[in-house]
Amino acid sequence: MEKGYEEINEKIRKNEAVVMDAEEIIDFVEQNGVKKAVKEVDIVTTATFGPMCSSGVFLNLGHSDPPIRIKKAYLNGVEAYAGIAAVDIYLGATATRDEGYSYGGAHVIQDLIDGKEVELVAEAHGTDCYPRKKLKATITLEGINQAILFNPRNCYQNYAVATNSSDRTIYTYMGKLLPNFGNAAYSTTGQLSPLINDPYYETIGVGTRIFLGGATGYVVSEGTQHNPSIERNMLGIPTGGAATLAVTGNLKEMNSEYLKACSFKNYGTSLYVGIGVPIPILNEKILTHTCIRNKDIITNIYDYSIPRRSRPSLGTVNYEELMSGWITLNGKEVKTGCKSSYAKAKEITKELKKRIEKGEFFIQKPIRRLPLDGKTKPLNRIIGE
Amino acid sequence: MIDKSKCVDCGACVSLCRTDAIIMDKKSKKISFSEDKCIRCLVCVDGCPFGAISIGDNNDKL
Repeated sequence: MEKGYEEINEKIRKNEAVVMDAEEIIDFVEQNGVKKAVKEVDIVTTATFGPMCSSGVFLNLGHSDPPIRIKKAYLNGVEAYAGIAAVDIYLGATATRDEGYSYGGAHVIQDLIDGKEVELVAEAHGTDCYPRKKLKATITLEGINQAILFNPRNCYQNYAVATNSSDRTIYTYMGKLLPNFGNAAYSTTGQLSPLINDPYYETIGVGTRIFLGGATGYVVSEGTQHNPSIERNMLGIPTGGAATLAVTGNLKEMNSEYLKACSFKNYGTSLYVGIGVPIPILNEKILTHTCIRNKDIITNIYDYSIPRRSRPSLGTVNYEELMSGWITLNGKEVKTGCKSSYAKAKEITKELKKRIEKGEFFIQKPIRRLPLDGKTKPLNRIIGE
Repeated sequence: MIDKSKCVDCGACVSLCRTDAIIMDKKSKKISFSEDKCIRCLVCVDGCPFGAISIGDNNDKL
């Protein structure tokens, strides 16, 4: 049996679409079988809510009088990239103020969403058409022309587990890692995670409409470091970070419940991004992929005390074990903790389901599939040390 | 104590707690804190990316 996007959208229009989240579909298929499920279920909602460093926002600030062609720009002391056009800037989530790691671009983004005034300081060399050389002003999200969240790499399809074999505590982007394998940190929301539920990118592609930070957003391309060629298990699930998504949406419509600034000690700032992706149940194969369980998702464990690009794998583990709170590593029981919020992701699957059922959110057929081949390249041609 | 208005229930703190004072509910996947089990070692405090954990006003056990 095959269903089409328009057929499902018609059901959404009539408030007749049957939507389940990526947990509910597992039980439904177990109880009713694949044939009945593919006939009755139209959409499975998936989600993730975790720190996604490769996030940021394009802002158009509006023109002052006299006008300025901005060369350097700072928002609450955080530098934004100004090499675009006169008053267009890009603020990255991980840019931080000079004095430390506790406040960065992610926090400015959250302040803007929360309606706070943000201080803008800008410098320029001055031209005949843009004579102003210095500018100090305040901006608000409402008062500027555009604020377009554009995240080059979000939504990793699986990710490695981090631990620490050394005799000292280390602070990493995977969080605080205690000495002598004192704990292990993992990310991704396992069986709820979007690209885990569509391992061969049959429905998630360029143009897919998604829930992004509380607003409606879109997948604009594969993300940076998209790496789909890595090893997969028998169910086709990559055993480490594989596909990624570049996504965009209107920051003015977002909500800081689903877009939250954070700071990792001795590392820096990042942005927790809430992403929900609807998977249309077009056929049995797509349905079967959405029935993936935590126990069937495998990932590798790496020692983050080795400060190198490639680290040897200490073994593999599945997400059921990770979510149990303990894993066994070299015969030792090691406590686990997650960086992504499963509870929040579950909330997003529910919210997306509600919007679809109310006829407020329609699915979009991708205009291009994400690449199924290709490999991330290293940077080797280093000059000097 | 955990400031629930800042906490997103990620669980980064859970693996840092040696006494199971911070646990994640197996079903709801939400974090809960048990003051009775907390020994105020403070290992979890700087492990929270949202600054949601503090020792509160009760410093008796420090």
